Amino acid sequence: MAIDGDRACLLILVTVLRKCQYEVTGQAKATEALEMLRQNKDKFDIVVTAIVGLDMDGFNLLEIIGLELDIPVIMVSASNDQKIIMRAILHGARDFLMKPVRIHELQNIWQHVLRKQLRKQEKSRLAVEKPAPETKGTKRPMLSDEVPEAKDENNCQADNNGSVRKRTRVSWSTELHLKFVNAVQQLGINSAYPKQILEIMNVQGLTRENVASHLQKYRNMLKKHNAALNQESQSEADSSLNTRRGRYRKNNYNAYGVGSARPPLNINQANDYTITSKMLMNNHSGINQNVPPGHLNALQVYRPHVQHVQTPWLEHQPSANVHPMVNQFAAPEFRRLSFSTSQFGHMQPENQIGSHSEHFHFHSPRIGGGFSSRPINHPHGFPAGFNERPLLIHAGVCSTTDTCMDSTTNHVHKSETDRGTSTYCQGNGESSSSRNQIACGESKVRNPSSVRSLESDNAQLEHQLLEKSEEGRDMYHHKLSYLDDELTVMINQFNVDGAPKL
Amino acid sequence: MLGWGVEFLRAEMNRLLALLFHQGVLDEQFLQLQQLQDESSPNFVSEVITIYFHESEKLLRNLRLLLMERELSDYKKMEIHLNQMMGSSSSIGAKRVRNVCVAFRAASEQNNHAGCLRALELLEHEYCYLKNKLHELFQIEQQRALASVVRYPARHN
Repeated sequence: MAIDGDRACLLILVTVLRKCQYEVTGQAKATEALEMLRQNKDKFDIVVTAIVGLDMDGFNLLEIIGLELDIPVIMVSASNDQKIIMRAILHGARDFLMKPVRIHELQNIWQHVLRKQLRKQEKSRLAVEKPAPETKGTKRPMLSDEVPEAKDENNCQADNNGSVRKRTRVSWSTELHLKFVNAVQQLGINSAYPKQILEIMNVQGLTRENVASHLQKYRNMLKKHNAALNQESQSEADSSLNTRRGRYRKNNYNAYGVGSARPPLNINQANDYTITSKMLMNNHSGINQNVPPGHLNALQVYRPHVQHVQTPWLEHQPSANVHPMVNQFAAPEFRRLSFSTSQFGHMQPENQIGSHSEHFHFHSPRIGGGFSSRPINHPHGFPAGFNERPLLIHAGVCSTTDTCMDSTTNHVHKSETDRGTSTYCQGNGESSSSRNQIACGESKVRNPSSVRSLESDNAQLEHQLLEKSEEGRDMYHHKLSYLDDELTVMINQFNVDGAPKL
Repeated sequence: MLGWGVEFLRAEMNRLLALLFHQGVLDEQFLQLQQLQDESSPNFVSEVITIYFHESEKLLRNLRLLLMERELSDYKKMEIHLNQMMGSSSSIGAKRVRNVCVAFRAASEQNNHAGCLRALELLEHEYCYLKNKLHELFQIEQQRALASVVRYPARHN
């Protein structure tokens, strides 16, 4: 179900979703949409809605759908105002996308549905396993030991406090955790005692034991967090690869626990992003990190990709093109390379465009792309309907440059670029070249060596483009098909000479 | 234009597109739109753009009305309209229009009436330019569709 007051955006949204093989119903009016949702609860798996411009408050709508109907909701907005994003998450949004919505961001929303279904399975499994209700509500569901869960369905604190006592477990919702963190901060992390925390929090039905165990976990998490931070600050000086790994470690630890709106202890900017991504995960039992081995077997397969998936949708801000990795490289050519790496690593078409437009227009590149700690791109199973066309954008942008304006027909013409796309994918050893090219990128990212080769690929390509301006574009396409042959050569060169002078 | 070859018209269209990209009027989102157009939705782009024009004109009119009230301009409402304008412009790929919207929003956040007025004028100007160019584009597209169907025996295409 897609809801947007702006009809143009709605039409685009519906079409993109249909293109991604989703079954969509578009609605411009929120009230009518709610009616439809209420009547046919089972027919709708997920809702994508705008925030502003509806006939009712977007956050209100979000809450109703989340609480009453238990359907995952994804918010879409034209602005990247942090307050709005926070509010959306606090109200239970599963995800937040910026307009213009990009195809690959929408491709992955099925994972939210999957996540929810899996969690439901887990819950029912656990409910069956538990022999007798415990009077002390200290235990959290097993799943949430590793993956902090805050079911947004039953998180209305006021409502549930009465039932919390009767229930066997306490679910640490965002609000509850927020209070907890506030209390801890007030008392000071080292001198916070459960009894005092309990008093400050002043929440009915919460026992001292609940607080104590939560505090313990919180402290552990913080320790790991700090350790990871230290590790990361050391490894930041290294190549982008190491940083990515370091960040993965940090992500691993950070997935747990800190779901507060106020990032408690973080120091550098990257942390901010991870904190908010953690918020997302806290709300929605992060799929990516710390998934206990027994569960969610299917999802484990995706984990390799997660490492390279870092900061979330906050990167959408066009002005905030400070990609965390960029900061580390002073030299411009390196910087471009790191851009490319990250872009290739995440294999977002727009990012490629970003690098090119930076290259040619010297604008600030837009790090669009919803690659993030959100849903992971599944390399193989994605619905077949989505073809290689994304690379078309990549090629198409070349036509924006002065040099390329002359022979533009090549690039806007689809079939040629498709050919280019498929050679590209094949050139990199991807068997399923018919799949979307995101698949190519993602699986490549698995080996560090191939990432580096991508770096040099891109560097070499850009090198080419600079040298021979008009031919450069044609060369680019030709070069794509020779990637395989020249990989080792380039890697060696890259290692030996350092970054090519661009 | 009848009788002009398909190739020529396609070149014309590409030239115009390239010009618009170069000027920054359109960005890659527009290309994404074009990709969404296929057999199942053959006139997607023109449909979306037409809707965009309708909505935008309404929004622009509302904005102008809001700004014309000299006593107390309702900046909140303006921001809502602006938000919508920004959203649809960026979804279309109208980069320049969106940028002006951003500037407009900044001015309205500071309750700067003169700034808002200027931004509105600029917005209207950019919007008109975009509209004209897109109309041109559609015309060429129509011609091309015609030309590919109709065959003029005298010409070699």
